Amino acid sequence: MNGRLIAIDGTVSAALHAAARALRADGYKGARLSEWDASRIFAELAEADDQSVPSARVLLLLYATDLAYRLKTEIRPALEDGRTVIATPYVRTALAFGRAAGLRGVWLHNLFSFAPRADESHSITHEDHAAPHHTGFVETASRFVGQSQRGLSPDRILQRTATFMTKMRQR
Amino acid sequence: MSTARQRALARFGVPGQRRGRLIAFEGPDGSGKTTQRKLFKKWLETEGYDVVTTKWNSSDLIKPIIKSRKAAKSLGPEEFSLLHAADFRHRAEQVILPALWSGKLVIADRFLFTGLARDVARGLDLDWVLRLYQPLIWPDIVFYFSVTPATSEQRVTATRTPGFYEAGQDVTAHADPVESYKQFIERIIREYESLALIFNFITINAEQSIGDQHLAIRKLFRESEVRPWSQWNVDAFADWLVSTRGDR
Repeated sequence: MNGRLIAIDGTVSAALHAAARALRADGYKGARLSEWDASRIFAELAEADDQSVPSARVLLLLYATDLAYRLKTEIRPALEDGRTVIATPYVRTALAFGRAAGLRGVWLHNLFSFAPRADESHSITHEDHAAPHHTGFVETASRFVGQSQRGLSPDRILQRTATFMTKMRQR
Repeated sequence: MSTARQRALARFGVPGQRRGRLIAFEGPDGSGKTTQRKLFKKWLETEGYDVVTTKWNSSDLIKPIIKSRKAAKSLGPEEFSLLHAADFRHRAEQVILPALWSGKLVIADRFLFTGLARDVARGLDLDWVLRLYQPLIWPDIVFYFSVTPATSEQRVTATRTPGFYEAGQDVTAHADPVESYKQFIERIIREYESLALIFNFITINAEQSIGDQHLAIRKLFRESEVRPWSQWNVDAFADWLVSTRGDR
């Protein structure tokens, strides 16, 4: 593929949007943006009649499904056309969330092994961009996992995800 | 060792201790496994078992998501595989593991091997798909209902036209669903036959009469020993206890 894939990962969706906008304004004007839940799986999950709470593992399988959809419909076609794609979030966000929820790294890496490696990766871990209109994967999934998993409040899982993001960036 | 693992081991790691049982019914479409599952369940109940049934692609949470995308014919092989793995995991956490924990007998009308056979027939890597289903839950018995591709095709098309994904039209590119089904079911059965060898299924000749098959299943079930759970199942229970406040 001829294009360039730029991943922006992080815990706060508003910060990811802001970072993507800044990148587009700064040298990547024609870049294609690929955002979380393009497939609307999580939107449908939020509207489901069934009240059972999905675990972190189920949420990550659904995140991977959404990412497969984004790759098929947005990311790969644009890269094949030689365009730049800004994917926000991409794989690292999900890996960090999974580790924060106590899932094994080997399972998570296998799950996302279908996704191509980004040419450029940015991790946004500060949390001072909270905006009620932008709710992303980590915020949504943390609320579910906070209900289902003993000892992990939504705030705690957000903090832990940010910690894993920082660790990954340092590697 | 984690507390959850200790609890799972205490519950299931001791030989002779009472535990639930998990029986899986597997096989291609048209192999008659649903008929056999219903007969088996009825018989188990007359024998005094507390039976719970779970079917493929049936979780109230994920099934509508799969259904709408199947109707739109919008699923690629990875999405198809991942959504079914999500449905399976949610049912495992909400239905299968709680029932086994409380000592019930669970009959699964299709188990994770259905995902493996179909996804590999769609060209995905077996190892990648198998790992999606980790931590693995291993049945006490897997009954595999074996039929030829011709029998499967004949039985399925006798009453209906196979659906788009059932016929594998997403990967065969055949416009005719019956022609596509013929090609796709051969691939699926080939994968099932390999899985039956790798994972030691008990094969039932599903070309026999319904009554003969049912009697064979009863006999094989009676002869099967209740062994301690495999290490894999202890891991699956430990994972469930942590991730879903199981046995709260």
